[in-house]
Amino acid sequence: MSKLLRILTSTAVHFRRNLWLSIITIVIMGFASFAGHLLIATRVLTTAAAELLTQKVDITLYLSPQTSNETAAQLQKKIQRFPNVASVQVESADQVYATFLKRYEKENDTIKALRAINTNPFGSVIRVRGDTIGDYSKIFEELNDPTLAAEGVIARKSFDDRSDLLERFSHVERSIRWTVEGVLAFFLFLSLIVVYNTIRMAIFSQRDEIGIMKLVGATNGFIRLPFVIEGVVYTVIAVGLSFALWIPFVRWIDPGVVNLFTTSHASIADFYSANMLTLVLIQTGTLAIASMGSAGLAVGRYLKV
Amino acid sequence: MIEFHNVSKLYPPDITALTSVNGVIEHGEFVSIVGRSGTGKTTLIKMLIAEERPTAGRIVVGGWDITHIKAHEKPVLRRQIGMVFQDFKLLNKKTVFENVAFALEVCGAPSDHIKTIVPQVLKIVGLDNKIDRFPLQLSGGEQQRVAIARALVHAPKILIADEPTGNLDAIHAQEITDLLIKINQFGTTLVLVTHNREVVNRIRQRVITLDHGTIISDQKNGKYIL
Repeated sequence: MSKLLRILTSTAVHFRRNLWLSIITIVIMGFASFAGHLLIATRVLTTAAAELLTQKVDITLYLSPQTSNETAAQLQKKIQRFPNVASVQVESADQVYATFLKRYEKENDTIKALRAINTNPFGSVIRVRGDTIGDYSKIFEELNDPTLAAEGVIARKSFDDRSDLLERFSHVERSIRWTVEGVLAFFLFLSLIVVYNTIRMAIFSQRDEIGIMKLVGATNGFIRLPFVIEGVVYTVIAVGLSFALWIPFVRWIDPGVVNLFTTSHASIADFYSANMLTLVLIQTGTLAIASMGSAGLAVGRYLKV
Repeated sequence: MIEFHNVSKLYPPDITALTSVNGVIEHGEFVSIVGRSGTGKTTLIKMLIAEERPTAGRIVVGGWDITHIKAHEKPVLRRQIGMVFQDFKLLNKKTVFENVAFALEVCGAPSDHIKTIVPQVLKIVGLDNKIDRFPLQLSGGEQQRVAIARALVHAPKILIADEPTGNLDAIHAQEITDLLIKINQFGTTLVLVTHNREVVNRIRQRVITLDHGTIISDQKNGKYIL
């Protein structure tokens, strides 16, 4: 136990003796940690955006104006029994009329023309949603069944799969993700270089002590370990600081982000709350392993015991 | 205690530091190794503490063949050999007590043991009243005595002093020499590397003379002959 304490004390001494270099190392590692946060935030937001887009996809059935509400309800039940259908919603003819009036309330000519007909020209509308994007084409084929057409209930079908939009969105999402991953890789690489150099400087500044330690029979582990542990210390401080700054920031911007995306799935704060321990462990673990490796390389190269 | 069997050391490409050195240093002996600069004295000492490896031959310390010693075994060897240098090699930011205690701390000695041993050793070297001083507050002779105390904390069987009086005036050199003699009288094998004629002649113990990497003289009650 006392040996471990002495190793830790030795580590603290190294840290203090090269204080400014240690601070710079922590700042660079903090940037790497922030890039990790950005990557996570990007994934949360793009996933939420993709979900939103998916929700916009539907198959719309425009029923003929003569179709009664009961017939529309029966058709709804029939479609609900199709495989891969997630939901079927019916908007009655009256609801469609009211929606139209609201949408065009500022266009007097349109409203005048509609009122002039003195009757509701709209039929019910049925909106069908699939479980996944891939199900829509199958559902659309089912709706092309001749028996349905023979009943003369469905006046028109429309299927806007927005596949082009989804594809463009995926492309943008991939580009953003690669950019953030590139930034993360850059700062990670920079962190490794800075840790390597800091440990190298520490070894140089401690050369008298190291020489004496070798002379009086200190074990190789006792001489080397403090330098390797120093890398872990930098990691813990850097990750701790980055979380301490990032979490309040995320909580501050969260209401605005959720409002913009109109879905709580875009809440980065909620994601962090639900996965805090995992995220801390992953960031700390990754950076610690990388910095220990870098410190180990410096020790192996410059510290001959 | 220490055996050299045909020890040679070649530094590439063509520098021969030692050539077929043979000799035995018995337990409790006081041996002075003398020679001009560059004759191989320091190389011999470095091989004793496994800082260098012989190109040929064997070295045995306390029955242990250290010729091909492994890296993890070196600390064990070095704890059995105390080393003192011309430039003292003290840590100026540590007190006298801390400098001596350092040798025990890095080897994992418990605090209680350190607090017991260090004052005892400082008393042997006559510095028990200066434990809180820093090296730069001491004279050269006192600094060297701190270094000797540090070398003694592990109760080594062998003490090697490499030019211990090199940076000292005559009076302090004499003090250190007397201290080394005293340590030897306690039973520690002492190997003194020096080219100080007065020190060697004053000690009047065994003298091994090196010249161009070979032993040219080995006298029981020797004198400085170069």
